[in-house]
Amino acid sequence: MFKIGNFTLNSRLLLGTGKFENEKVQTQAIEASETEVLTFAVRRMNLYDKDLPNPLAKVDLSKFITFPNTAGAKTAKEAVRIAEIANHAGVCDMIKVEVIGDDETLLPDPLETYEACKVLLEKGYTVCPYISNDVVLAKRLEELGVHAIMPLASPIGTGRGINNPLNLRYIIERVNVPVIVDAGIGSPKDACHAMELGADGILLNTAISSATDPVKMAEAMNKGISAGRLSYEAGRIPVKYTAQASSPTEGIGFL
Amino acid sequence: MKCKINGDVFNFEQPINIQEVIQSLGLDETRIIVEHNETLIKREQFTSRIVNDEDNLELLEFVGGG
Repeated sequence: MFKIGNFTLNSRLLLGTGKFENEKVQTQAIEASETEVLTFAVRRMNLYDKDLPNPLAKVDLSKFITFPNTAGAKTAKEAVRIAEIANHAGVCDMIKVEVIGDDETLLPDPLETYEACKVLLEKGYTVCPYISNDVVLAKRLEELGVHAIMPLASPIGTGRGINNPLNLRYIIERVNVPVIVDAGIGSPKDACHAMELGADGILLNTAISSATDPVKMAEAMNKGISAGRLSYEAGRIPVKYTAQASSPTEGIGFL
Repeated sequence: MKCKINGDVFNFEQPINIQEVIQSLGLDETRIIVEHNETLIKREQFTSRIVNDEDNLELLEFVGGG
C-alpha cells in the first residue's frame, strides 16, 4: 500500500487504456491487472465517423482513480488546458503531466513540464509529471510540491525496458515522493526490475494492450510487479565475483 | 451563420443552442465535453448556451491513452 497525494493505492500497477483492440479485451485486461488507476487522454470527437470504436467510453471510470494524461501537449499552457478539461468533466483525481519536447523520441520537455506542474499545483491538482531519468529535475519537482515523480524506463511504446537503471535508482533514492516508472516497459521482467530497484509503482500501457494476449499479459505484469516489490522488501543478496557453495563444505571425507 | 466545430466550418440557418448542435451532428451526448469560445460548458447549460456566428466550438471526449 502507498499513497499519492490523498489517494491510497493497494495495487502498484497503474494502467493506460490506449490501443486496446476492443472493449471486451480491455475490460478483461483491466480486471486481470487488478489496477485501481486508469490513465486516458482527451481528444476531439470524430464528427464524421461515429462508428469508430472508443472502448474507453464503455469503462465505468467512477470505479477507478482517474489519472488523465496531458498527452498531445507541447507547452505548459496546453497541458494545463487539458487538465482543466478533464477536471471540468469530473475525472481528474490525479493528473499525469506529459509535455513532449521531441516528436521523434517523444521525450518530455523538462522546462514546460516544470512550468505546467507549477501552475497545476497552484490550482490544487494532484500532480504527477512524466520525466526523463534526470535526478536533478526530479528533486526540483519534488521541491515544487509534485505528488509523484514518473521517470521513463525508455521512450514511450518502445518496450526497451530500463535503459538507465543507475539514474533510475538515483531518482528512487534521492526523492521522497512516490516514484512511478512510466513508459518503455516491455515485459514483466522489466516491470519486476524497476520494482526491485525500489520504484513504488509502474504505469503501463502498450506492453499490455499490444501484447498478443493482453489479458494474460495483464496478469503477468501484475505478478511481475508484485514479485519485484516483494523482492525489494525482502532484500536481495549482494552480487559476488567468486562462487560460494550453498551446500556444506565439511563432511565430504567419504568421497 | 457560420461557426467552427473542431476546426471545421459548419453552416447553420440561425444561431442554435449547443444541445441542437450535438443532435444535428448525431453525436453521443453522454461522453461529450464542450468548449465554447474557450470556455468549458456544463451539461446543464447545453440548452441555454447559444452558438452564434463566428463562434468556435470544441467537442471533446476521453479516449484510450497511457
